[in-house]
Amino acid sequence: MESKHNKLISITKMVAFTSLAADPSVVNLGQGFPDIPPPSYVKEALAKAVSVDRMNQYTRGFGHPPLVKALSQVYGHVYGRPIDPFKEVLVTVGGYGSLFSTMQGLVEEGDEVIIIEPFFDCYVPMVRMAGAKPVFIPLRLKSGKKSITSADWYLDPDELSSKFTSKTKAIIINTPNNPIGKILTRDELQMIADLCIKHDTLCFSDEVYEWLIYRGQQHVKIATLPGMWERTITIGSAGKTFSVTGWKLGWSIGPQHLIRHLQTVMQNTLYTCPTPLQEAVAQGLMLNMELIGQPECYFTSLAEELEGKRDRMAAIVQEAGMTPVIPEGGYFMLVDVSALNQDLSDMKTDDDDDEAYDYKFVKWMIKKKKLAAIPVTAFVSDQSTKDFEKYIRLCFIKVILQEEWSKMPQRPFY
Amino acid sequence: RSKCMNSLIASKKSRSLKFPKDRVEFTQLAAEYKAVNLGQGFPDFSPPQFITEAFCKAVSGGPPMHQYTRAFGHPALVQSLAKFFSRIVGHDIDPFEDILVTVGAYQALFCAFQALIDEGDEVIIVEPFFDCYQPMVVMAGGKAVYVPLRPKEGTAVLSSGDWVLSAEELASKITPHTKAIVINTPNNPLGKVYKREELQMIADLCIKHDLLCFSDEVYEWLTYDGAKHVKIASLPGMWERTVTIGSGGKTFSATGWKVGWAMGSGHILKYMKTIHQNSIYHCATAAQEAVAQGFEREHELFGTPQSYFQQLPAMLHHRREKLASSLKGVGLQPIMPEGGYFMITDISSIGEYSDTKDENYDFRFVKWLIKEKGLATIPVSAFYSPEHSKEFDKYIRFCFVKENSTLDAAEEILKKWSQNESSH
Repeated sequence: MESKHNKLISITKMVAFTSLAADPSVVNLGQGFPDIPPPSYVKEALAKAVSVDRMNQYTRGFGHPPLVKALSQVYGHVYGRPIDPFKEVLVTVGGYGSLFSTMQGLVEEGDEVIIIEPFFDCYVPMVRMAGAKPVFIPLRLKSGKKSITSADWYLDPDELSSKFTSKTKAIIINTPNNPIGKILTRDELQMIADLCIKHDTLCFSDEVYEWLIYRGQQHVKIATLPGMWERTITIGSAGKTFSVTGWKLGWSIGPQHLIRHLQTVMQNTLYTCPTPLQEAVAQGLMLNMELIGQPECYFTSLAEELEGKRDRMAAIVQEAGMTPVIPEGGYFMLVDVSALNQDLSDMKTDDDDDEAYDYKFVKWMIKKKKLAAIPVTAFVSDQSTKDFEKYIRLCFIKVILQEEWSKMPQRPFY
Repeated sequence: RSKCMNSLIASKKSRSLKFPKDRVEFTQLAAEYKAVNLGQGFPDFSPPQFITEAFCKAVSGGPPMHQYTRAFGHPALVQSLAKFFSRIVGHDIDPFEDILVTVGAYQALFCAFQALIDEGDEVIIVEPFFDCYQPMVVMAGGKAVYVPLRPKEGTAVLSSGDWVLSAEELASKITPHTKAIVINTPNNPLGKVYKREELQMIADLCIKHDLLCFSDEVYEWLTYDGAKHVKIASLPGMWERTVTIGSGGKTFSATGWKVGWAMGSGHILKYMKTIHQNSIYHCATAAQEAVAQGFEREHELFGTPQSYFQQLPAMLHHRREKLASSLKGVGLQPIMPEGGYFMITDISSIGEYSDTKDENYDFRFVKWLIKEKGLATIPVSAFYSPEHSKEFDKYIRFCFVKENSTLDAAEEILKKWSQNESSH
């Protein structure tokens, strides 16, 4: 029974941190979900859906028709091309479920999949579960800068090119990126696209944070670059779009000849997603479709709200003597803790002498400062640990930023 | 030519699975011909008010209700399931170790096959079977081995209880490669509710050959005519080797909520949790909270007339009778189900009405019935392996979990049909 599971990474470290941080006296800026309420109209739409008999029974397996039609409209507008709601869209259980259907449908034993570090931690076990080999390429930091943003992290073109082999099936990109918050520029996406086309590979583009783009930034969809629609699966998330991570709805958009394989996987794994939730998301999308360009449009208003929180978080981090990496998008911020030069010798545990600095730092911070974060080396491969172990990840889509944090000056870091 | 445009771009695994042509085709055909739909396996009436209220309450329950909950199951739900089922199974179920909440029973089945079936393992499937078991075995790299329920010889076959499993035939299918046996009780499509002795026979073989048992019990509350649902996990020696699967959707007539679960010994469940964590990770929070409240209510009312688990089977008992008499009224021979949502009917008394001979008789019949009579059903050979489907291609499946008006409409169609016949 055990053999297959040696290949899978059980995210036990995350689970350990979750229980450490579960102490109610700990301010939790680790967990990657909002504590702000979702817009009231989506909650109302959900309550309303449940009162309609038919909405409580199975809907279409590949996606509730009102939802796939709404997605087709919203994204047809965004992509600037017609999107077939029934053949080019699949609704899944969160962005996570889309990643899974994509891997199971298109990746197999013997394949290589290129993953850019730091990466959302499920990519690696999903690649392994499909029998394939992850190949890593780290984002690298431009040297010499005093105040750092996520734009200072870059992909080395030669290094990236060297990772493509005859076995490469796909490259996974995540833009805006979790945890750094980097938004891949058009030039960077073009470089990736050129390689995908040259080596005839697929591209899996995780764009769950696509609406969380801060001032002066632009989110570009790699699938809109020439030659890329036919080889790209783009993943989106209702949870991140409407601040309802607990609804677990996401979608994959791409060409029929690829989406059909994801649909086959869906059919044979969980068959269909919950109906009332899909109905409510459909309504939320259509409502905001009408509001595009207006200040009430949630696709833009949430980012505006978060930008204030981002800047406040950055200021607080600096006051505490640490260095923030200002993200261009998403709701996470990397924080360089090395300036504190914190002694963590009493954080060593018996079972893991080689534990990375950021793991020890986060444990120390939870214990001594009652503040939880996530160690960034959780998002990189072993070979990149040394480059990332001075960073922790904070999540700023939190109400507590305003409230609990006022207690912070009483907890100096130095 | 780009390999990305080639069908070979699909993983070997997904290429080995059929693109779901049939199911999609029947649904489309039924819609096109505006057929009275007794094919689809879900209620056309509403879930009970207490459960939809629980959902609405969860929706207005503050931000945590709309964010991620515990990945292996919302604490309120696993706790209420553990409390509820411990006394039924006769075992102290640990809510955090022994239960995994999934997106419908379907995903629980997927996790079971992925976690516990390895390349080369054989899995015994009792036919007729809910059609997802076979592709899930294939996807896990295993090999499906079939053993059919057969109508008892000699007697008139009037009830699903008359379809039985031969102990010799079952034993003969076990090899050193056999890893698990899959049973579904009450059964879809037949409606059979396995008796204790029958489950004991299966349990004996599981213990003797050290097999796992996957027991799909989604219709566990729907038994009729005094048939008793028995959990194979409650038999001696079986808790430690059984994964029992349940469904909030079938329990509370809310199939669209997709809340299911797997229950079993933690040493088995932990592998299913790993699969779940690496495929879906979390299930929707509010729906789980609502199902938890539903079980809390049922725990209070268990065994009383107000219990939904008493009321639903009582209501469906009548729907079942109603459909059966409509079918008998036109000379068809229904097999009375002891449990579940479905009733199958022998159609062999009816001559051939279609020209094409390249598909099974019941498939052709079902299509004809949709197009010519506006009544949708499902062909039963769809629930059989390729090797046995021709033996069982003279049955069609009806779902009777429908409003009286739907069953009335079906009855009209059947009456008219039989009048047409007698006037020829």
